[in-house]
Amino acid sequence: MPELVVENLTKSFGKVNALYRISFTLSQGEFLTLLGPSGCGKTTTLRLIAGFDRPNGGRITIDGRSILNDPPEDRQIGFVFQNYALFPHMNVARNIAYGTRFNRGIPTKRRVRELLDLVDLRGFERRTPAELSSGQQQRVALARALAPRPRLLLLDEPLSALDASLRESLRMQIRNIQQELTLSTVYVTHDQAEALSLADRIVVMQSGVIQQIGTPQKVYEHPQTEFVASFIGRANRFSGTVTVIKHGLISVKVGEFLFFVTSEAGLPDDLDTSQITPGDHVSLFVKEEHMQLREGGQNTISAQVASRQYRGETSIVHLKTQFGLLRARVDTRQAETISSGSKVKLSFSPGAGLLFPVS
Amino acid sequence: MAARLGAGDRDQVKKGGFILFVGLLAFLGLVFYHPLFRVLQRGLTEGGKWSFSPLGTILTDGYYLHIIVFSLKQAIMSTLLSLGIGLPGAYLLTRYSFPGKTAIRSLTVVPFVLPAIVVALGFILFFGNSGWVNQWLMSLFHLSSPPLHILYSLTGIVLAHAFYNAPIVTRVVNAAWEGIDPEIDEAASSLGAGGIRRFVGITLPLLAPALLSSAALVFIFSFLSFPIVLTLGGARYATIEVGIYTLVRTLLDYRLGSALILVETALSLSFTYLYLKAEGGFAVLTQGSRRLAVYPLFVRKASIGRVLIVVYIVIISVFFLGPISSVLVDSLRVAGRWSCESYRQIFALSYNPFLGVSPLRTVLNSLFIGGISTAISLPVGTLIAMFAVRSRLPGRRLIEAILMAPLAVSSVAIGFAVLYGLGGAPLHLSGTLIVIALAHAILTYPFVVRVIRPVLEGLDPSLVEAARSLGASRNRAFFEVILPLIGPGMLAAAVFAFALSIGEMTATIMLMRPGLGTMPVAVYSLLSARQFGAASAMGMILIVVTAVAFLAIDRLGKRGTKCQSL
Repeated sequence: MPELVVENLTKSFGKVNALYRISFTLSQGEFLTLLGPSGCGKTTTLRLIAGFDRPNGGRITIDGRSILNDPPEDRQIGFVFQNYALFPHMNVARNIAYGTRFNRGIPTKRRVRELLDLVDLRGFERRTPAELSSGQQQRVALARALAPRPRLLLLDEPLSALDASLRESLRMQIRNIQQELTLSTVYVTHDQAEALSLADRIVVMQSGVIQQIGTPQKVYEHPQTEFVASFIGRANRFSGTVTVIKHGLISVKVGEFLFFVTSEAGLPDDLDTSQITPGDHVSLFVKEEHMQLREGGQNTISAQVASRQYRGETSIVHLKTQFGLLRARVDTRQAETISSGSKVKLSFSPGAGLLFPVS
Repeated sequence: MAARLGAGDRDQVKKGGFILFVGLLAFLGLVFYHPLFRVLQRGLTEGGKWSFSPLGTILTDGYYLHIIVFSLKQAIMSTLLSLGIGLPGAYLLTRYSFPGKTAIRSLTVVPFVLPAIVVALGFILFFGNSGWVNQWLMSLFHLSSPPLHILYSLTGIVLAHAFYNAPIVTRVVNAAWEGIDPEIDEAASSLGAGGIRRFVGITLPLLAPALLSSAALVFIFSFLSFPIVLTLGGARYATIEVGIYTLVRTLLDYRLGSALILVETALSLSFTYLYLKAEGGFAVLTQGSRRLAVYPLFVRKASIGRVLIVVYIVIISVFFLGPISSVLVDSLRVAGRWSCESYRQIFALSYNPFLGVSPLRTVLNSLFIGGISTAISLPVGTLIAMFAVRSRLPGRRLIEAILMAPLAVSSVAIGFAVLYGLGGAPLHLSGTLIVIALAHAILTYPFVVRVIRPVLEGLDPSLVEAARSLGASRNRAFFEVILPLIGPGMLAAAVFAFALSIGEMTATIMLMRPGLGTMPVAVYSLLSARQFGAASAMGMILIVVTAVAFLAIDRLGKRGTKCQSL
């Protein structure tokens, strides 16, 4: 049962810390995505696992055995490169067959046929990479990595070079293949939609540090750091100070206005109300889809509609308020009833607010 | 676990690369930098002490001043004529389509590989006082004496240099022109700029780096040209190169020879610096995804522009094909009849009084020198290309420039340096084929770098990683992935270096002893003895070697390599 454990992994290039004490585990058959902006260390992490670079500290084990001293060719880890890195001088069949030759017991011809079927490229055996579309190249790269039956599959932004519709269909194909083979997979991306739809769990990274690990739902709905709250989804942000903590509600003063947030939903998991005191500076996040265009209890402010953006079923409404420009995502049917310049009420429920202490 | 160090083998590779690189520097120090340094030092010493007196002699002597001024003057004129002939060609290749366009574009590399002595021979046979052109004119207008006297004059030298260099201008400017994103031009026209304004305001500034760098390249080549000036200049016209040759080989005046080399090297280094600066401006041009629109050249409706273009093509064809075909025809004609006699002479084993050795010996000498020098310049050039592409050292640009120094030092100077530095104790290489091969290796390795460097740059580093993640060891990844991808480029570089060595005459003549003559030297000797038939036959062999090399470079080059900046 291959289980990948990454412990306190650290990597620096010169004086720059690319990774600082990264730890996570990957269990058998799990699909993990590393999500973060460019330069956050996600690709570095992948390259360390594959053995292309050597860490400055920390451990990487598979089934309890360290792989750090193994050269890449002995690790049995499949790697799909961002630019595919197909061998330009070999045709599709030879590209896919390449890794099977080093693995006794894998019948090359049959394996190539199996994989061509798997990625739906039967009949393309004799083509060279230059004669393939980028989507086909991507599938060959995937097939080539899978052919030697790796213990682990690593994918480095494998869909970033493709256009949107192709990306969506290949995303599903990758996920289906991964489930069919119950293959433990680490998938690097900067695209949150990709991470949310693919992963069993997401590792959110920023500046070489892990911000949060959790299921897509958990990461989206209960971000544990201010970075995660601002990176995933779109939210309105307010800066304020805590005034009163009572009956499971925290009141936050923003400017001259008092907002109320439930302490259960609003605080990160590692904080409870006993660790918050009046006077603490906090950031308050409210996701755009939790903003409502109507009166709604105490968290109601007046606003003036600045503009509307049609997004199909929903629309984004930009609103001028005393706190600056805010965004609300509402049903298009509702958005159509209001016009630019009209005065409206804007509210959110106390359960929708997310609080992060500011040090 | 020592055998499975694996993931840390980057460090091992680094260490291995470092050792190789230090070895390379030691080798180049021994055969090039140190000898060159000693020559330059010789030009600055008098009686064992530092002194400006040799330099003073050169810079106050009317004759040497005249030589220096003449070198610059003929180089400027050659550059202007090369631009005049080459630029319309670049325009034609960029904006028009016509049958044979691809072939002609490829052929522009030929003059570069064509031995200069063969060009000189072709010029004498075609433009000479009793050459084809004069004979045609005499029979056409019933003249009793040849009307054209262009050889053994400044005109002859400049024309021959243009023959040699105009294709370089065409090649470089055409490549840059096609690299311009047509959308830039379209943007300008959508903003209201007309055709002429677009050309002056958009196209010309974007072409400026290519124009400057090709002009600088032509200037340097013309400034350092030796065989053409030696053969076509006659007694009256000498450049610095010829002056050094005369001082060192005829007058045995090493003191003044070294001082003249000092002056020449200072000048050529400054020109090379300008060239490299101009070349640096290229980077911006290669962004276009779409190609420039081209128009068919041959259409029913004739316009003045198209007529001019056709006139240009006719003149150019005569100018370029005339000298080369006259070498071919003269090699096959003896006393007004078709005959293979000249070729029989060339492959004779007997002693030839004009060569001081059998002609076949010179062919074998050339092949031997070509083989040895390529065996040296290929690894040296490859290592330097790898350094240039992979190194992250601070100051690597400067190191790279120093490693490419033979480009900026004249062949006469390199020949003399090798003679002066390696000829005597402790190696006593003077008078051997090895010392000539070493000089050729130094002259040719920068071109190996230029061919291999873009190949390495185009190599995706993740290919090796991909192979290794699939289970291939480092060595297997090298042999199965890297070598097949850079192999054709290395072969092209080797063929190129070999062709340059086979055609090299300048350094060879500096280092030559009786019996060590090569094919170009034989052409020169036979030419001096007015044995035109034998000279042409020998010249034809050189042309064939060049053509084979060209075909190889062209074929192999298409697989991933780009030799556009040759």
